[in-house]
Amino acid sequence: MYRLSQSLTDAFSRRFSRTVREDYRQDEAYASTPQGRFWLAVALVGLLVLPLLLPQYPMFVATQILIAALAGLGLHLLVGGAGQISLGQAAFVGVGAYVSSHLSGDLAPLGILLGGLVAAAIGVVLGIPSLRIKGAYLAIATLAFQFLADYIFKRWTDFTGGVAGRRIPAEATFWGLPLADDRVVFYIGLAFAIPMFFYAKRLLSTRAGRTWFAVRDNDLSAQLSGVDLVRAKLTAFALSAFYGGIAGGILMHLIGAVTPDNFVLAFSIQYLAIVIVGGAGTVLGAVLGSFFIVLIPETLSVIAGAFGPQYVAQLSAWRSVAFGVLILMFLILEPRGLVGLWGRIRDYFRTWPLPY
Amino acid sequence: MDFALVLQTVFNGLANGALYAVITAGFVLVYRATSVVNFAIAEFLLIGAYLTYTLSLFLPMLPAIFLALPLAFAFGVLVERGFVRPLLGRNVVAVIMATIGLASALDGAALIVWGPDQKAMGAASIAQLPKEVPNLAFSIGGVFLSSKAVWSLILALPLAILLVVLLKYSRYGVLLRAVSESETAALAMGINAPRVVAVAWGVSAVMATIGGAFLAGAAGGGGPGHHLVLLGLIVFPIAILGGFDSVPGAVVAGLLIGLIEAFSQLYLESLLPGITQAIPFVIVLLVLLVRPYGLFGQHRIERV
Repeated sequence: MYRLSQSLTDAFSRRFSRTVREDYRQDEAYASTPQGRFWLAVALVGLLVLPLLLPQYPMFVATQILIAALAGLGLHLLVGGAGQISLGQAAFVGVGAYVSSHLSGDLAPLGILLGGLVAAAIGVVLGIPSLRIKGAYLAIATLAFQFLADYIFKRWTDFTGGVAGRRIPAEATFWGLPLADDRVVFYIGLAFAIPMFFYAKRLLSTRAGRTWFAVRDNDLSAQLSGVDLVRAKLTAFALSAFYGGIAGGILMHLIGAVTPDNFVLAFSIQYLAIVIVGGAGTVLGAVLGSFFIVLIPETLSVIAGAFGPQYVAQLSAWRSVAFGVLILMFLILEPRGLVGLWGRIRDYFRTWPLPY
Repeated sequence: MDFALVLQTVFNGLANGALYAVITAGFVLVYRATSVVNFAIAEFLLIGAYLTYTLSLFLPMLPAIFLALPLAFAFGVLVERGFVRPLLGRNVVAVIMATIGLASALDGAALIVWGPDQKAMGAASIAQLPKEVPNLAFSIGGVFLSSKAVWSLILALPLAILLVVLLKYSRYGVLLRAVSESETAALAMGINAPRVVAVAWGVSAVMATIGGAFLAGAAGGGGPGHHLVLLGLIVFPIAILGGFDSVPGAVVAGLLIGLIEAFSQLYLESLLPGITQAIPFVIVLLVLLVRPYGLFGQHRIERV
């Protein structure tokens, strides 16, 4: 009888206790529970075999999600991590795309990497105003940067091809594999994305990440505790721009061309929406947010197509409305985003039927 | 250099600048009252212009503008009550993102309701002639002033200055400055702070509507269209240059940017096409780097 009651108590406490982390190693692990590790492995394998299962168009959308998640993750590190707002992420994506458009073919990964590095260098430059200003002022400074970048994309015709943009030849290959095939681009993107996601996840639980959180919560007290503000802010800007630049390089290969209208303010707002909808400051949030944000226009276009062609013309307008309303709803109703929503649902079922 | 041409450019620049000044003054008013940076100001302008357009389909131009103002006021109050108040006390970034979200939603909504093509004031179809306020264009000694410029100079400029005076001397202006100084203290003194804040948002929307209606061609020169959003974004450079929390600064900076635009259009545009749209944002970066508190702003800007 005693053993039965003990095993029941154990089962109950396992069921109702939150995961307790006892040392730093557990805290830094990518997945802290056996189930977590199992699902992580499933997700990774799933990503690797995905191109073999999906037809052409869903593959294109999946690659878009990957790109949005990368750029969104970069903004996550900046906004959710270091608490610096940026309205210029699309411009960094653009920098990466234009740079990598000059180095495609067999050297495509090198071109993408180079695009990321150039974007990071520009990110440091943009980060310099953040040393003097913050909040709304910084938002306006990055807005100004977004417009100047747009101006340069359109006018520096030697490098960017002007309004018409640049395109890579349709027959370009990557070691014999056609770059026009979305599956090839997906694998190249994956080769960048997986390490970068793990890096970001690890980074946020190390010294650098904790430094950013300290700056986000209160930069003055962070400085008093010995945080090097200049370094923290500039690395946050550089890394965020790097992620954006890499995303841009992959985007360029996915579309096979690069034009200025892929990098306008509306896209910067889209990346912000990813951060807010996903839940600022977590890596999982970037993934969930980008799923949501990329799939909304797709769903809308299916709905619009079902209603009739006159609605398809208004698609971009409906998309802006959907983004705006989503941002507002999440900010007002669930500031922790989809991650918070998911946590609440999970807690509800884990503690059911005794929520207290 | 042609003297008459320069004089004409000065007047046109001042006229456009007066419209910018009106819009920015309203924008700064909201910032003073609530410390909220309204990133949806360009959409306020757009909605205001479209409201005027819709009314002008049924009414003559001047009554249409005047009837649009109370509607705009209600719209501003609605935005404050619906989207800004629920976020009271949250951090700056959250409020900024809320107004950005609002901007995106309004932007799309305006496209859906009024369509993407540029309209002509008071004309339901292209076949009709656009309506305008009475034409005041004139020309003296080779200096030609369009009706739009004259209306801006005689309507918008006094209005912007009136706002500055009201803020300084009127009862509501004093209340508003008290609330902006410290909302808690204002509440303790028996000031109805929520109402003052709501009025500030309403006035801001009214100013944006006046500016928007004239920028969109209530006095000739184009019609309301989606390009107004891009035009409206010039509010941020002006506010930064003026000092962000100073209404007189906004007026002066508005006129200044108007002048700079006009001269850049005249002299620089042929060398570097498109530079006129970029110049205000170059000014933003320069001001933020060198003198973050702008021309007239208080020196206690949020800095590290």
